[in-house]
Amino acid sequence: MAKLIFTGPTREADAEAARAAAVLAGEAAHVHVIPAEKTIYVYTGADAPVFDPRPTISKWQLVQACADAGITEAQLEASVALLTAKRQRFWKHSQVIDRDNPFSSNLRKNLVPVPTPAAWNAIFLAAAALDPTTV
Amino acid sequence: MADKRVKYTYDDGPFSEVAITGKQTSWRKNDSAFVPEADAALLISSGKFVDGNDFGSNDVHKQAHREIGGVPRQVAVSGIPFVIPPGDGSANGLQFTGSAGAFTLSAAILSNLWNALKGCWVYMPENFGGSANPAGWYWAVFSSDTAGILYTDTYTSGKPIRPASPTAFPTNLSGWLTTNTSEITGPTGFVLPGGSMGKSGCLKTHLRTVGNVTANKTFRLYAGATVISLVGSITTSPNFEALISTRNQGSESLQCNSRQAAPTGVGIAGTSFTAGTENSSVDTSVDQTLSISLQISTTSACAVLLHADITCTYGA
Repeated sequence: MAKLIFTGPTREADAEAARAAAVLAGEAAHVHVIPAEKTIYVYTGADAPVFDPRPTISKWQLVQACADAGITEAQLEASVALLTAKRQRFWKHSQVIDRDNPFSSNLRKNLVPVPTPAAWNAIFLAAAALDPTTV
Repeated sequence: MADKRVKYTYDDGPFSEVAITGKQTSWRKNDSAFVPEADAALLISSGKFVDGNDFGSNDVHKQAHREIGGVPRQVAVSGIPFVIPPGDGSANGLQFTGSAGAFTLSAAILSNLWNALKGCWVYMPENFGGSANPAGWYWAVFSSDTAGILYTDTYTSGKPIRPASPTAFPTNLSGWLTTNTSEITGPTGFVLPGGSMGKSGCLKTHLRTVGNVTANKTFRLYAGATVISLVGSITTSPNFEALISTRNQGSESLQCNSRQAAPTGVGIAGTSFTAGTENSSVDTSVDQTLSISLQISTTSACAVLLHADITCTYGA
């Protein structure tokens, strides 16, 4: 872990090399460019700021990301069927799903097999990266 | 000697000035009155009164505002858009067309958005356009959803302004842009004077952002090196406006901040609290530099900070 500071004319290349090395070593990395100071900070490992992006996604994005992760639409529907009537109506009529909505955690818990919270979060992150305009 | 106006500011009172002037006049907070000039000098020197006419005095002026309370003061503003454009370096995003700084986009950022980008600061990485150009925020003017011109004028710090006569690139820029996915500080260099928030004051940031519907866009508000609000990740609904806040908690170095979410700010609710961004411990008793950063998660994303202004409201 480190907080590295790069200045000078080769700072962009140097910072990118540091970031790539950290990623290659399996560490988290965060790069912050401050043009006004002609400085680039590279945070790695435990020094990299933890950022939980809390994605709010569309229903299509969730279904597609689940499919990409090996969770079929049938598995999702089976999970939904175990939810309360109110949550089933939410699934049927809502187009926006928030990861932190209790609906989402209950949907996860009813899936077979149950994805870990980390895996479920990764599905939401992957879903957020799906572009609905270029399908 | 002429009379002089003084104002009692020490406490809620009642306070008798007998120990100072030998007179029995009683004062309550914010009472003001004309007194003989000799008495005024004694009262003011006691530290319990201020010169009631000297609003040119910084201390009196600050005191007056603090007594009024709840008066917001603008401490930072950016009226010009900041854009991190998309560009994967090969087939998508921004491409220079070989005529000075002219560029095209493979797709609109958001249909009709160009109408709000007729003058903006666009971040370019090092050696963009096939030339040895330094990284930075360059002036650009969009002429349609998918075309525009980049100029050599750059932004570094302070209140962003429109260049009066933008300078064309002397060389013909060419090639696809490989955009930067690092966090990039945009508007910066705004000083929040130490003590201006007080122990219970508030910073309110009014943000107007947009972008494309691809991947994640994140905006961070900084006081010094500390994030005091995080907006993100913005994904498929990038066109939004937020009023976010940073509030001192009876201490000049403890804050609670807006919820980390997208959208965020006033009216947004949730079931969890993110430590580290929804609270902070910036020492606001000393000067702090305010800045706003932008970040995209992939080279196909685009983030635009259309407008931002930050006001400070003192709270005793």
